[in-house]
Amino acid sequence: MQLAFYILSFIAVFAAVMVVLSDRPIVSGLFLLLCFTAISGLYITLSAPFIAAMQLVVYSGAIIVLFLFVLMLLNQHRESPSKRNRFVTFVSVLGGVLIGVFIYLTMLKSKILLSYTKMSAVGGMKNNVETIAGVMFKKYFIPFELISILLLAAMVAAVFLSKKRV
Amino acid sequence: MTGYVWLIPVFPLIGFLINGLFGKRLSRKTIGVIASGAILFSFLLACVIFFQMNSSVELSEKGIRNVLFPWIHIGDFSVNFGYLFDRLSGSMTLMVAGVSFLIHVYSIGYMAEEEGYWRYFAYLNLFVFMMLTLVLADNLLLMFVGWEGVGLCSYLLIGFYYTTEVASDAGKKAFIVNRVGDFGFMLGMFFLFTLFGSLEFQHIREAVISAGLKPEHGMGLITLATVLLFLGATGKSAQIPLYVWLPDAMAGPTPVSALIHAATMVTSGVYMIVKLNYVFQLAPITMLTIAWIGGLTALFAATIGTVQNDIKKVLAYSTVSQLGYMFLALGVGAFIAGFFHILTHAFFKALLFLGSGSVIHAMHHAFHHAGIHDKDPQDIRNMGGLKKYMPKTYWTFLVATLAIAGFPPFAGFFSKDEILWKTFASSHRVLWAIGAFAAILTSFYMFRLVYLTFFGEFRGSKREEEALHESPSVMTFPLIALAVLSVIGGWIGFPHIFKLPNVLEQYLEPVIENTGGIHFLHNSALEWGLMDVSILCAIAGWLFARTLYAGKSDVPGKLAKTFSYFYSILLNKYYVDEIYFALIIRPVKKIGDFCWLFIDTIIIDGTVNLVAYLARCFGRIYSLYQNGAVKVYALTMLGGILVLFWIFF
Amino acid sequence: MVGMLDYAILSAVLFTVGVVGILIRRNIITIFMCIELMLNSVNLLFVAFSRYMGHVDGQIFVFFIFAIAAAEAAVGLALVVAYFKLKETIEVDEIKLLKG
Repeated sequence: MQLAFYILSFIAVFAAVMVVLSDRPIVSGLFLLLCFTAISGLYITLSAPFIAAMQLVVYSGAIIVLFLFVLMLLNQHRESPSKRNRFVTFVSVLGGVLIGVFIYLTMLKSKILLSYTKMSAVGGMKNNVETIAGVMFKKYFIPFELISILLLAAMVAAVFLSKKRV
Repeated sequence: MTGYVWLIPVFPLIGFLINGLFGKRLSRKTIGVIASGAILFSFLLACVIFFQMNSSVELSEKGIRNVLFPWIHIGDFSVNFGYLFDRLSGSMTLMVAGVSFLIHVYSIGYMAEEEGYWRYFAYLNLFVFMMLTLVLADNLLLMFVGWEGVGLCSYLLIGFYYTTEVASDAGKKAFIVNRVGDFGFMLGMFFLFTLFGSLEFQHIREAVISAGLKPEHGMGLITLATVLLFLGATGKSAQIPLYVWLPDAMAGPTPVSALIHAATMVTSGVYMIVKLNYVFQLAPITMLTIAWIGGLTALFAATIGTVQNDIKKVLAYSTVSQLGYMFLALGVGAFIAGFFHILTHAFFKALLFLGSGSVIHAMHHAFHHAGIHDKDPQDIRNMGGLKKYMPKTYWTFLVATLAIAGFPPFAGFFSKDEILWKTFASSHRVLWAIGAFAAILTSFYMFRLVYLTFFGEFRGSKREEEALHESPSVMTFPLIALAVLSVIGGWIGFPHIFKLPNVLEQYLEPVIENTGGIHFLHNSALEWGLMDVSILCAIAGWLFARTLYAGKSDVPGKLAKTFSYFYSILLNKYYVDEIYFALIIRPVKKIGDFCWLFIDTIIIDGTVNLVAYLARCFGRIYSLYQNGAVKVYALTMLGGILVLFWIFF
Repeated sequence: MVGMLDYAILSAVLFTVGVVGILIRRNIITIFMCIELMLNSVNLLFVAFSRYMGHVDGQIFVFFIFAIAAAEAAVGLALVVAYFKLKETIEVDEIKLLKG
């Protein structure tokens, strides 16, 4: 378990860094795919098989493919050389890292977070899909329906936007 | 029928709504019939209720009260929307509705060729509604609604010919001057509420009687309240110092002058004081003020009236003067005499105005026929000899003149004599002398008017003369009706010495509550003597006018030249308008200019502009930052997040 | 034993990488990818919490986030396509239509 976690998290972080560093969008997209897949594996280590499957289907399957399609459609190969000030880039990186540091420090201060050292083995966690289904269609029924309407709206919007002649 | 008192004012309201909303599409005939019909219904209903009330002892003592709905109810302050038909308001209602009906009928003829026919009748009906509300109100607040309402209608009707500047200015003047009085009325009303805890007439009356208040108790608040209410009355009833609007109000159509500015609205101040007589009597200082203001106004306005050349202006000053008599009567405690004069004055003054309207109508046609547009059809110097062409108008006008001048047995004689006698009998000798002298002047200026208008030769061209004719019968019928009333109207109040029943006094006796302990002298011989004096006054005025104006005499011109100083003062109405202008209007305007040019333009506008300017400056600065570059926005957001972390960490 | 803190740190690292990516990349599509990365880091935290607290609700939220991410990607990419048709570029530094 421990080993799996470390290997998968190393892959995820490495892939994420490559997404950011690569100046070719196609390469970024493929590294993103790798990252998502690693995260899917991490879900397995958290014994959430349904979410892991959904991660593969939705992210690795649908969204990444969408990205790659658009990249091909727009014929994007390589970012043009940056005209940005180096200082701005440096500040950006520094700021981002600072946020990470702050998040880390915040987590260290959180007693609740630190108290969770063992995975809790609640009964409901055993049959993952059934449990999720039970909660989703009872407690979260209305949000679920709303989300479906949102998706429909997004679909209509996407079709309309790409069809519209400019 | 006793439950239908509220219908009396509602009929004119319906007429107003129909004419006001749909009048544009109705034919002139329909409009006239609707408007007059509405008033006729009111009048007939008022007659029925009046007789019903008198046939029952209980009703005639207490009056018929119709409370339609509770109007305002806050804490222990409560006012109902209610009408009260008692002896006083009933008599007044009959007069208002009756005279209004005649004037409506007259207006059909007089206004026949005017633009805005429907507007005129709608306003007129609204006016009658408001006036009846004022008269029938069972509390001061509702009365105030009517009070304001008649003021509004007066404004609308004075400014009826709103395209001419004179008319619209006169309308504004009437409205603004009345506001001063209304302010007094409101404050007086508030004081009465604090004193008696109610605005209903019946409650106030009961409170006064049950508390057994007497003037000796010397309640300063009552004096203050009554003085303020009297200020309201001076505004509405055109007394010194607020009379200035009434002469200018003649810019309106003549029937309006007859209805509003002679017969009904202007008497509302008198009516209000008669209604609250038990309160006013508690304040001897106020009573004295009322008497003196009334007496002085009577004299003052009469002197101005003697030299005016505009037929309507003469009548306007005469109205002011006659209203002065009424206040004189109230001030000496002769409330019934004052009310009596309201009634008789309504008849003969309405008749005088309608008669002058008939004359103006004829003159207007004559000028129109001759193609003259710059001559004033109201100037008596352009008239003369109209007796020949307008016999009905002449005879009715003469009747009214005899009535107002105080010749027995015409209506004015009885009421005016009653007032003068009561003034004398309450030992106000100086005021009596003033009143008697004003009576001479009254007789003088009225006969001057008659001689200049109807006698002698016509002072215009032949072409004008051809077109002179009597007015149509729709106009002469009201003249005749009013003439009859001007003759017999006074017979309801014979003096005691005639040994005939004084119907009015017996009828209104219960209305008056002698809380002030007012005492009148009883001396038949003296009363006979004074009556002779007042008849002599009337005759003296007539003879004086006859000498000066009956024949072709140059005496008036010579007199004017000899006393040119006084003459010009009188002709310019004592320069009161000019004095008001210099003392009040100009300073107010200066303050207004100061507020406008300095406080408003520089301080307020400056502040606003400065704020706007600063906002624009900041906007300029920040718009540099809104450069559309996503990276800047993203970095800013990052900075914001970091700051939040810093704060909450 | 792997604790809650380890997952949280992993999530934070991924999130930070996403933030830096948004700030330094100039291609809109890559920026979108970084946003997806950040969403995933949050998802991971949700599932971890769900696991350690013994509540299934966290996973439901993840499910909802999936849906919203899909909608967002669809609309966002459609906008990118529309913009590309108009301006022939998807470089953020070239996009300055909102200049005030």
